[in-house]
Amino acid sequence: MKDEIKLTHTSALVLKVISGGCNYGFDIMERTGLQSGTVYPILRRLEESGLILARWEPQAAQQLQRPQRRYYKLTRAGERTLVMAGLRYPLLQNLTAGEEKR
Amino acid sequence: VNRRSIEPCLLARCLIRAAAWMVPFRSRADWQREWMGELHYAQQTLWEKGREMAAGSRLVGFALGAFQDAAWYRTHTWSREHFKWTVARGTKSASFCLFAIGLILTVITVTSGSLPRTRAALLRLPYTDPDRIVTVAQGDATLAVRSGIRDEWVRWWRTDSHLIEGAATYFWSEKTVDRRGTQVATVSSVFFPLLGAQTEDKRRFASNSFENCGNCVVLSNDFWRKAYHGKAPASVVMNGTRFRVIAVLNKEFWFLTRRIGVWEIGRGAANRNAKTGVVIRLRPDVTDAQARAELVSIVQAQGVNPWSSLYFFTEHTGSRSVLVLRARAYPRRRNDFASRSREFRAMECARIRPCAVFLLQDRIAARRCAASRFGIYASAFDHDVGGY
Repeated sequence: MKDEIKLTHTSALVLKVISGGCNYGFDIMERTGLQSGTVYPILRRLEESGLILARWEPQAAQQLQRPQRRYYKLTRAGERTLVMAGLRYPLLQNLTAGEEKR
Repeated sequence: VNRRSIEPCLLARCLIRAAAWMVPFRSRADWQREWMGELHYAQQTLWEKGREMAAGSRLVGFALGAFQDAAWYRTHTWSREHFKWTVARGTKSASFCLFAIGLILTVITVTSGSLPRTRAALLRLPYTDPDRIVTVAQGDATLAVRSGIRDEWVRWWRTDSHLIEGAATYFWSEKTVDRRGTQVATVSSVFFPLLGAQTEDKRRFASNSFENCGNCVVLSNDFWRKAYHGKAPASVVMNGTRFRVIAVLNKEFWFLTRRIGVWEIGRGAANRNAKTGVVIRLRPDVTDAQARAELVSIVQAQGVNPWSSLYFFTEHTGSRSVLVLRARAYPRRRNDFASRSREFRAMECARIRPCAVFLLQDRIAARRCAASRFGIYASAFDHDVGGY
């Protein structure tokens, strides 16, 4: 079995808010207060590590005259890693679903 | 969207487009699409939340983050893609074929000629001036086996040689130490000082370290860690006899094999014909050939049959089995060779078993005895000197 990936606190925070329902970059920025230059590279890294999965919004969005969004969601590996990160960073556990998705 | 937020949005778009140039071509379209989409929603979100006053600076700040993201792409993706592209293109070129042929030839050259020296340089032996440390053994011209040296020869060399600084003996065999089976080397008291071995706490053994040391042993570092978990025992029981532990060797130390767990300080051979492994330290600037010639002459001066020393060779422990120097003093005439061969076999056979019939040149007995020579090396030693 592949070893658990050790996340930085910031990456764990991003993973946590994605698990809480924030599924695109700007939303994550809004929730965490992190800068775009921090959030997007983290998303790339998490995606590369297989912890999150990215997909484009269905074409229907274009019919609404707006650009498509790129959504992120946790993979199973990401969920496991988040549990491990929760043990490593206990304060992450204090983030309730309500706080994550106000 | 009012006019006040249009200009910052335009600037932000320009920034994202500029940053997009850093992204590898293959990923650029998707990357830009995502950022433009995000910019759109950022603008919309800020507008909906009534934060249009601050929207301008926030959007520009947001877009500046695209440079960091693009830089990440550049450093993590570009090199891999570029490498693949270079390889794919390069393998189709003539220069690549020439390079590959050159590389293969270089590898062959390096591994065939220079590797032993490279290995010796990289894995330097844990002795003081290891280039002057040489093991000495008797060899056989046809069987390519080595046997140990008679203990009395070593005594002669110690007293008569001018080209060696010292000689130590060694051999090893399997023994039980504190109910654990391991290889136990029996070495002379000058063995560790001769090599310049160090203890665990980086002390060097002095020439008198083992004087008046009855039933003493030195533990190898690996054995000490595995068997005693890093706590040096005051004594160990080896094959039913208690031995005092003098020291633990430095973890880098090894000699011929790393399997030796315990080093017993021996008191010399039980009989003058017993054979052991011998390691000598040459004086500075003495070559193997010079030392070999002197050691042979010392043995011959004691009246030993010259045949015994014909296949006398030295081997650098540093290069292991790479540098083997054999004596060139083969008999010139065939008859001479044959007679010496018989003489040698007679001597060897006489040592192992009575072979008087052979001395009478009985052909049948000679054949039997010659055949038994193959068994000499196996039966003569119940211990190992690392020569096979």
